Amino acid sequence: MFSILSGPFRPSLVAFGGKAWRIPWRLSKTRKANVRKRLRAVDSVIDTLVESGVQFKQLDLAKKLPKEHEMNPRDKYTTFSRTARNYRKGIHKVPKFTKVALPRTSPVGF
Amino acid sequence: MFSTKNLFTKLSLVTRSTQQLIGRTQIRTNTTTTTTDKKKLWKITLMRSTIGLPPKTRKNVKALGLYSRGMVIYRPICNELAGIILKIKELVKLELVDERLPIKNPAPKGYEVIRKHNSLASSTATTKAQQ
Repeated sequence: MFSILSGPFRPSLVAFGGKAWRIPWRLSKTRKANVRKRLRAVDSVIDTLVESGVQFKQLDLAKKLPKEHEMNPRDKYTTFSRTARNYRKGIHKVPKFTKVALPRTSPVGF
Repeated sequence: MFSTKNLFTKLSLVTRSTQQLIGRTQIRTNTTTTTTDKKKLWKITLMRSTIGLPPKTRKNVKALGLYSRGMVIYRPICNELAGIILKIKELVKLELVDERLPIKNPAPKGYEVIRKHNSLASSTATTKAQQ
């Protein structure tokens, strides 16, 4: 019955909130591990840039960013949102979150 | 460096001074034969595709000379390129190397072609023509 109701060219269920895919509330263990892996990859790029001996302002700012092992789990998997409840939402709700630079620290007080 | 300079002129994202700088580093890397501790080149690999990303990011990736995912390029170490790399730090893998690695030759096939089906017909045709 379920398969008849869903499928291409059919409006998504009202029970699903009108969305074709539901985004889970929190990240799974594997997805969180992948988030960490990506953060470490970015860390390594910054480290290599520093190692190569170049100096510029943006790199100094990048150096000040907390590394993956220094970050709070809260900052790793959630992000500040103006509109979300308690001003926090899962990182996976940000479009292109796997390819985009997201803030590693949250604003003071949030 | 293969066509680094041409590439930059084509895209015109980098200023002339940068091009000169790249040119100079090219000469320097070519002429120096003494071994130093400092590595000379960046090996940049595009790990993530640029599909669906903002045009500015895509242009930055192209400016480095990366066109497809998994592509490897070697670039001299300079500040201007460092800025671009920092912009796309989520998409690339960066390594420090002394020189570009040679492109691997394909593995031997394990067989030898004695004669091809079409070559037989063509050879007979030519002999007939000669006669």
